[in-house]
Amino acid sequence: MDLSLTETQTILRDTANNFMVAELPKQRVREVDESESGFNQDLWQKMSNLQWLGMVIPSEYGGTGNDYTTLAVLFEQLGYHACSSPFLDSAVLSANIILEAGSDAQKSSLLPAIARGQQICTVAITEPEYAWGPSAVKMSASSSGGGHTLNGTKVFVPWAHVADQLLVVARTSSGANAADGISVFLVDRNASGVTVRQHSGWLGDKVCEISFNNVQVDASNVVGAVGGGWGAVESAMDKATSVLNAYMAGGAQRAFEMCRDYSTERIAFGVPIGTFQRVQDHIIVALTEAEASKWTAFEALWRLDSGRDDASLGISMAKAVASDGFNKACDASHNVHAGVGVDLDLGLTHYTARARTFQHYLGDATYHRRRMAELMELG
Amino acid sequence: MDFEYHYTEEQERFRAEVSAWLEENLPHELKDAGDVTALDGEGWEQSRAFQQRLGAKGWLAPTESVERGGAGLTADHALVLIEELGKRGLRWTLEQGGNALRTALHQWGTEEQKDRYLPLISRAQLNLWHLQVEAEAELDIGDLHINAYLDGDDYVLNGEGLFEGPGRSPDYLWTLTLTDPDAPPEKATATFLVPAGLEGIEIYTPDTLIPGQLRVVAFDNVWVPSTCLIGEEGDGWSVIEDSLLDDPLLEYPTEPDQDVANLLKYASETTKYGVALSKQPFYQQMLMEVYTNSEIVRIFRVRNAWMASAGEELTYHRAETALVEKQAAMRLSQVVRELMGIFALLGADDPLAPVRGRFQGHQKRSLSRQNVVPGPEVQSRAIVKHLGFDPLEAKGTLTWPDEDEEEEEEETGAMAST
Repeated sequence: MDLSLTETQTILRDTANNFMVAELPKQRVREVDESESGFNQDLWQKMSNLQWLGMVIPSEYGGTGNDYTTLAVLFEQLGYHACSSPFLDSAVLSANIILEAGSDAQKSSLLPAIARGQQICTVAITEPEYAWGPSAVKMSASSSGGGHTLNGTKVFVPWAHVADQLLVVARTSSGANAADGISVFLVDRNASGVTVRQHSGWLGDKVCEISFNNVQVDASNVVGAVGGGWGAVESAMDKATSVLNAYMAGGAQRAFEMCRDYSTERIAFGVPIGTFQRVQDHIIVALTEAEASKWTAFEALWRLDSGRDDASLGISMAKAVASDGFNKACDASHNVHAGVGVDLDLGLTHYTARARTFQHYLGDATYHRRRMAELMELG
Repeated sequence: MDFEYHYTEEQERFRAEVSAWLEENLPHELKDAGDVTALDGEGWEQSRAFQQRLGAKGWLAPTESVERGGAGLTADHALVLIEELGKRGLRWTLEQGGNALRTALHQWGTEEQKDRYLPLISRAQLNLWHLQVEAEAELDIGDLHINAYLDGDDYVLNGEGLFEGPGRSPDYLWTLTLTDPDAPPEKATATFLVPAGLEGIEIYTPDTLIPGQLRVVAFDNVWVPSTCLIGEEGDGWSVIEDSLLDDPLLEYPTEPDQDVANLLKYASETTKYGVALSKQPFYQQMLMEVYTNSEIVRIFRVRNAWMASAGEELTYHRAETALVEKQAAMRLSQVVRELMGIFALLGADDPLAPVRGRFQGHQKRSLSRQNVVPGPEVQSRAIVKHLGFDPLEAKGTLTWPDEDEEEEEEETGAMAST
């Protein structure tokens, strides 16, 4: 048993922290969040130069082939500094679907470009009913002229407005199981019939609605077998979720540290508010939620990297913990900060917005508890 | 990262040896005994006899030297033993109050005390009751009602306190006493290992939810030889504090939470409106919530065991784990009542009781775990203390990083606003 970071991971953690301190101070987070695209090309290029984007892409496709625990060490730092980017959606979720189900041609053309940050991909899964399991995939793709035609709407698709390619999950047939008959299509974001609209609201990452109106997809752009795409999607979702958990744990840790530090600075009735037991109770909640998020996330990553049969169970459990825990840590931190907590310059709301958004992304706590029950054969 | 221990071939051979011995020597009645507090008088005698057989092999104190009744095993071998006991629901055999006394004797005892008592503890030949004090608790001398004063070569003890320990009667009482009320609290106490048969000692058992959980021990002019003093007079609280932190190995979780496992099994096998409880979304969510809570406790314990074994300093970590565990026990208690309804309250002798009435016991244990003396407040205070807040410091005496700034604010009459 050894829960320490390897030398490589320690260097990566420190490098990422130093990079983020220099490149993404909280004022910059706000600027990026409030910009139209929410996307910082300069930061993206620098992350690419650091070879982060290819970390879980094999070296034969231009990546560095690291394990997921190592990638999660980086994502914990990205979460700690509230870094928004299409990293997870492009270089983890999309890359894994292509890696697992894509043809040699698709892998060769897309993965090196994703690893270099020259192509941004995102995955369109959720629909107006908004759920994450295969039964929620209802958008249809009909056969036409040797290819397929897509019609329908996807919602809350991250970073679709800056993506070059969309991996669209749609139903080509129905089968005995909900997972049967699902296919994955590679669609150029600028293809005829594709309309992208950014959702507006208080959202941690930019998300979009995509309308597909008679969008033609060539047979060569089906990723994996027609009707047999869900396995790769689910596998990639597991991997992306395991990394997202670490991001959320990093955010929860920052929310905890903010309230801990503030409670030593803020004076009320002549003493720091940290001397009041009611305030201490909030700090303890933030601490325990952040730590539960972190350690369940890394235990699940260990299961994943070790190839254990119970990896999916651990990942779902960790996501359920992080979905609740990140929010609770932020809520507790707001309770300690009181009124000043909602000052946008303070920075706490950067985390709260992400907690609220990522609570849902790749499945909320309710979804993952349901999935846990299925994996434990209770459901 | 690696969340699992890995063993050598030689250690695996030791596992086989332990496993074979347990198969041969474990009484049938103890195979599913669960929490030792659930054992009745006869069960207790059986469990003690079994502990003594373990002790004869040195396995009750696996890392203790052979001369002092242990097995002289390495930490890794000890972990193998702990895992094999855990698989059979026998972790409680190692979690006896004697462990705390062993730690105290190693750190504070004289060589004579070590030679005399350590072998007895290691072989389960010394039944110990101790004054109730929880790890991470803080000393409140106003709440300590046993006094001791030196008279010649002996100390005279007076007063009474709440004790805990197994069995119907103890061989020894390990107690904290107030020796100098005028001294600063950290120098005002002493600990004694008192033979329970001394004149002037009276024991009675209050009626509690779990019978025998609490004992009141009264000392009425009890003359105790000064050789029973552990450490020096004035060291009492330090001795207690040092002894309450278990060997981190004992924290390493080796088996899933048995109460949660029982509940999952019950929910899978029990139907309501024709559908298994485990398949009904409302109950399913609660089941996964309590399962997750138990897993968080397990993973925290793994982390703590690793930190200790790696020589990393544990600060708030044990208190955090204990607090989360208590909260999990209370939530599990609520979920049990939701799932089982009123059946959760039925005892073992009622034919309608689920899981042989074990959940009635759980309803009581969750309360006793939550509110041992004192309650979860102890863990909360310990956590914030480790974070740099001293909750018991008097107002105005704290030294904060921004003390100068505070003074400036006071001078200008400025008020911070939130």
